[in-house]
Amino acid sequence: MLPLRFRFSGRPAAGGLLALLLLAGAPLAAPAQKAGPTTAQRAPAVLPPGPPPAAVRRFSAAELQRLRADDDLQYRQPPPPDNPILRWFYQLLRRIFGTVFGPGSSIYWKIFFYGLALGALVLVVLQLLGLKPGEWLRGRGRRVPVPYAVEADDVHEETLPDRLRAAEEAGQWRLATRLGYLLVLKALTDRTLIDWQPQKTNHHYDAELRRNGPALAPAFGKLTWEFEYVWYGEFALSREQYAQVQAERRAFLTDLTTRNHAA
Amino acid sequence: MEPTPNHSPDTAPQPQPAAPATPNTLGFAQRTDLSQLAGTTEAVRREVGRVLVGQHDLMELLLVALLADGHVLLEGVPGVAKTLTAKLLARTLAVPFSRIQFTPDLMPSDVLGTSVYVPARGAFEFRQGPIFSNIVLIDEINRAPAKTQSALFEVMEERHVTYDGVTHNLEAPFLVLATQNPVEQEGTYRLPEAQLDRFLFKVLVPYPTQEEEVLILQGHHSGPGGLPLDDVKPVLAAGQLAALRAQVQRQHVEPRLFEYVAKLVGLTRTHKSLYLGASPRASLALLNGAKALAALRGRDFVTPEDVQHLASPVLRHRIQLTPERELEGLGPDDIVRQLLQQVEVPR
Repeated sequence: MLPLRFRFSGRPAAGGLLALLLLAGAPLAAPAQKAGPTTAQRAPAVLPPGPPPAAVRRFSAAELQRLRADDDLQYRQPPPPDNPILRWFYQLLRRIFGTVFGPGSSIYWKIFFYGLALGALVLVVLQLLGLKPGEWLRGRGRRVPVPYAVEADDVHEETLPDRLRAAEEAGQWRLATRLGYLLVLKALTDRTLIDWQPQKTNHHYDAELRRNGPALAPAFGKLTWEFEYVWYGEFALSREQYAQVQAERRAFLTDLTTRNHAA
Repeated sequence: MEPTPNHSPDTAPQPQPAAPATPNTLGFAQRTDLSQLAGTTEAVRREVGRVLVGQHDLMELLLVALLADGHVLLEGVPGVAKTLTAKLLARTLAVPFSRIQFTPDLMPSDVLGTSVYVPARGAFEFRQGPIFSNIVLIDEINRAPAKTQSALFEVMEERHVTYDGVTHNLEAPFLVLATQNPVEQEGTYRLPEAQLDRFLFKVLVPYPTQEEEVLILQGHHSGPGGLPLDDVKPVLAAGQLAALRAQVQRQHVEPRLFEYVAKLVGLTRTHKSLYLGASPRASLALLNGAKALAALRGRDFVTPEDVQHLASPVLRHRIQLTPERELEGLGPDDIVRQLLQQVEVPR
């Protein structure tokens, strides 16, 4: 009743009337059910006759055959037009393999074929191993002469002091300046004042030293200036000038080893 | 927003003095007299500095481009003084200057010139367009269609214009300063790769720092209103510039540095994150730029630091990332940083 009340809440008189009628109708309906006929008095139920048995329909075999034969209903792709080059290639393959493996073929052909396959396999393996077998056949590519020697020195190289000594003894002042500068970088790296990396410039090391050991930065800046003018600028260096570079480097290294330069 | 560095990301932006900071105690004889170059470039900086606040990095790269005879593409959001900087630099040079505002309906003939009929002579005559000048400011270059962009290919590289089968040469110096908004901005288009390759540098113009912005406000507040552009005087004549460029061209380059530049640029062609690497023109641009930068810093020889410093401005517009890397949020400067970390410095 709640929905009814709610529904007719806008019109209370009509809603009340409907509710009254419903309540009045409920007791009237119950005796009517009691007064209905009993089961024995009802007419006997008669089942309606069922549908006739289903007849299986079959397609006409002749009609099916006709449809199958109809070209318009063939959905297979037509074969590609005959390619004379491919046909020639297949015939060639058939002839080759017939010669090699066919009945009555010579054992030498078989040996030749298996040798060829083995050679191809070896070439592939060598190529995968990076041994460049092509260079054995063609010869090495022409090397373009470059007007300089490739220097690939690592500051962690143990032979740096020996090479520096040898350069000084040979009077190679430019090389000695370079090796001496690398020694300085190694000393700074060993004390973790700079982080040596091959791709860094001297500018990076200067910035790192300003952070980690600012007291050393001016002297390092001077050594860097000398190295850059001598190495990149290719300024010629006399024995006297090198002596000055050497003295400054030694003073720097002494200062570095005797004092604590941690920032 | 952090200002975008114009130098290569891995190099610390240390201001470099025009003269060597370390005294020449070894007594090396100066092979090249760079005093005139230092004096003139300082005068240009001073004149531009009458109006422009900050942007020292930008000015250094513009001077390098001026000395290396290269065109410059300035990119930045509206209002960061791209056009003003280009105009100021042009004012410091005592040579003709023209400005072209690129718009979507601009035609090649509006830039290069066109043939007009002269009734008195009964013949057609070529009327030169605004490109026939010494300093050309192309404002908002990426608002013009590809057809007009293509008209600039010949003139930017070969310094002449061919029209109706006749070649018209431009007078030296010829410098294009182009500005553009970032490609993501409304109504802009990506420039063709062939045209981008013709710019020596792509310089990113950052926002000013807070201190610089305060100075801009104070100057505007106390000034007479408007920009004192007339205060900027020409300090560099065409003949002087030609002499300075010749001096830069003779800068000393240690042979291993050629290999360093070639390796660096060559790596862009095999890098997995790039589908377009840099051309040999990029190698030349990097070398010429490094020579000019070394001269500007008071040296007559190039160091690897000069090359590293210019790697980003030279390469950032010449390389293109694969879509996957772009989706990951990487930019050209990130790739240049990787490249610099892969190539050993000759030492």
